[in-house]
Amino acid sequence: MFESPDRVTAALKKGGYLSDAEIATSVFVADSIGKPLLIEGPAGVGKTELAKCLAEALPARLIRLQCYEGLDESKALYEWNYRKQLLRIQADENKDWSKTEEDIFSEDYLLGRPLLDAIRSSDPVLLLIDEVDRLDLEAEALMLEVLSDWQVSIPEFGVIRAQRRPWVVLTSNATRELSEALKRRCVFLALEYPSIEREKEILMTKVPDMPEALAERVAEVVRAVRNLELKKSPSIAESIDWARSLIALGRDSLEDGEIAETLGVLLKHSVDIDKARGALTAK
Amino acid sequence: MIDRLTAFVDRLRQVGVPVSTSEVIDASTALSFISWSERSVFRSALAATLIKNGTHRPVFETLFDIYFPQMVGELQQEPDSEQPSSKNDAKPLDDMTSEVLEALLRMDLELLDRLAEEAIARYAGMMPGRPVGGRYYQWKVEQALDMNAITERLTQMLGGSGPGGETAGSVLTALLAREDATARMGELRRRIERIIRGRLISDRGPEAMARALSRPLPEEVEFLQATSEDLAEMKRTIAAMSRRLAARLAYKHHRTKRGRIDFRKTIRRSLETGGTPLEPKYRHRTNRPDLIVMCDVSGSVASFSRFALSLLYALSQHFRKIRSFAFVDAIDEVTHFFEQAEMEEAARRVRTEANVVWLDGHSDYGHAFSQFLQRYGDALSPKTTVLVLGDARSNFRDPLAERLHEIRDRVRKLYFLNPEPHRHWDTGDSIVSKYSPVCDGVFEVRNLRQLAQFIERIG
Repeated sequence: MFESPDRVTAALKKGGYLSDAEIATSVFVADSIGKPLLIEGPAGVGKTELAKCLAEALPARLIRLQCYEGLDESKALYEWNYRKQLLRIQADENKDWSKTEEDIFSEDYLLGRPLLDAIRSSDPVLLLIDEVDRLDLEAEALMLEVLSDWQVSIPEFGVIRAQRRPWVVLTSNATRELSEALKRRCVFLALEYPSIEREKEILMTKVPDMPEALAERVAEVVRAVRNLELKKSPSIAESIDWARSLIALGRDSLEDGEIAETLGVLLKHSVDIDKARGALTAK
Repeated sequence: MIDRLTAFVDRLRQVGVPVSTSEVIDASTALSFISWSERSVFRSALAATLIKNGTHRPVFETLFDIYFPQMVGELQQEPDSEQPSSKNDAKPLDDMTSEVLEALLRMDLELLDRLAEEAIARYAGMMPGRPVGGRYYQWKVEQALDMNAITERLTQMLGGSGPGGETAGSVLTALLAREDATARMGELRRRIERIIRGRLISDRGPEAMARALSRPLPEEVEFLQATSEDLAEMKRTIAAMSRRLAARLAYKHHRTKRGRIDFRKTIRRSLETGGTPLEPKYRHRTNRPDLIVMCDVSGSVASFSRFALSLLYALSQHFRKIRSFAFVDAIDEVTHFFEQAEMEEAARRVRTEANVVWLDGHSDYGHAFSQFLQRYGDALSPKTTVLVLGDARSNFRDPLAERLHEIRDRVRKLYFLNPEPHRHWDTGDSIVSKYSPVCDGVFEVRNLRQLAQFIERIG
């Protein structure tokens, strides 16, 4: 367990993630009261990255469940291993059926999926449930038992309780309002694009040989671009890529012309590029 | 402290932020782990446990300042004693302005705090017991300081150009300087606001203050009464919602057991069960919807149409196939206005360039619908979803519901979103009930919350 929000900041920094007071406090609170952390924010603000670095900082094994529409319990929770069960039934053809039945519904025949794996694990794990807003409501309900009681009920088998409570991080792009039931069980962190100061620091940590002045300039321009109304605002990863390519091109300042040439690294829609070019450079 | 917390939570609930008991327990547990000396940590810990929706955060911030004020002692000491003295040796306004500029330029936060205090003491004219809101004082101080002029000069100074206003730097430098200046001015504004609020709290007590300040949550502001400020605040939420709507309409029916059997997948899957196909697999078609939005832009729904236009704008960022139309008593396509331009620009062009008036500029839904069929009928297809945004007040003209019916017959779904309260429907010249039988749904959408409900319902 972390001792204070400052420790969280330090631990995350070691893993290469620059947090701010708000992030550190939320992580600290989730950690100390033992609840899942729900991170919500637009794409590309570093939600998944935070979870990964947190796993490294704890340290804990990362188990990732990528959500999508149509995810069901056989993909999220567990599945019986039909193949193995069938083989066993064939092998036991002349034996006592009730014995066989008992055996084929034992833990040996259970295929763990991420949620069950996280519960069953004896070493510390961090369960990352990514893009939980893509799930439909029924699938979201699947999570509730795991997230509040730390257990999985399997009708043929019984209840599997967590040996140790896993650290859970959920991320959401807010494409839909999550259910109150899920939100109530979580500690909430709304992640936004970083401030200029923080983005500058991120750039300087992630891009070696980055002069401070250029980092600041890049951060300023990126903020200006994010303030435009675009189809897709540049993510932190994209602004890092942009800074990298500027370094690779040997640029040490950033003026109108240079921006226009390299906008393609930052923005991926041609409409956005045109719009940004119009706003940032002389016509 | 627990008392304070419960009073705070009660107030949050009263303004409509949902806070459950278990969340209050979480909050108080969290407080036992952190040191209370750092206010920002304290605040973040409360926010993380109590607030589960990003749009509720501003309300939280305001109430937090009221219930857990900063430096309460300091704020109470001066207001009365300071005023006369500062008036006597008052510096001329110009000095004040240039000091503020200096502080902003260096981002000297302490100096900024002090100057904000001074400006309030000199210009706000705060008197104990006056039943005036904080906004009034804020306005007075900002007027006296001439914030706009400061912003201008700050922009010039940050942009490294001369005082004459000729920008020496490039377009980019100018743009960045402006953004920077605006951000710094925001810092000053927040300081002034906080100090005024602190003074008011010590004058009137937190409860009275909280009541006075409680504005409705962004999702509850009525479209028909929304101010431009409200609309600006809504913009972000609208963008998120249109993404949600896009996701909803593109819903893939993965879990329904319908459609054609996918033999390849079924056979492949059956290998696991010794060749017995236990679970048939189906082919799914991804449903890429076309969207047609018709929006009433007449005067009777002026602020609604401003909202509707920003919804249109946001939608056109998320749907590849969207066609938008504006109407009053004639209808015109406005899709192209939204493709390139900024929101404000697009809205302006809709108002000035679109051909939406036929006779007298009073809404005529019937005529708009029949004209739509005539001119744009080929836009309709079985994959299309049509949204009509308007109050269905057609100035007693022929509703021509059969035209809307004809539109309905040629598309997948047709929804009518009405910004008026349900009880006003079918009063006066409102003809909702003429249209409702032919729609897949008529929804009361007075605020963002109801828009969200609509989006959830049509999934």
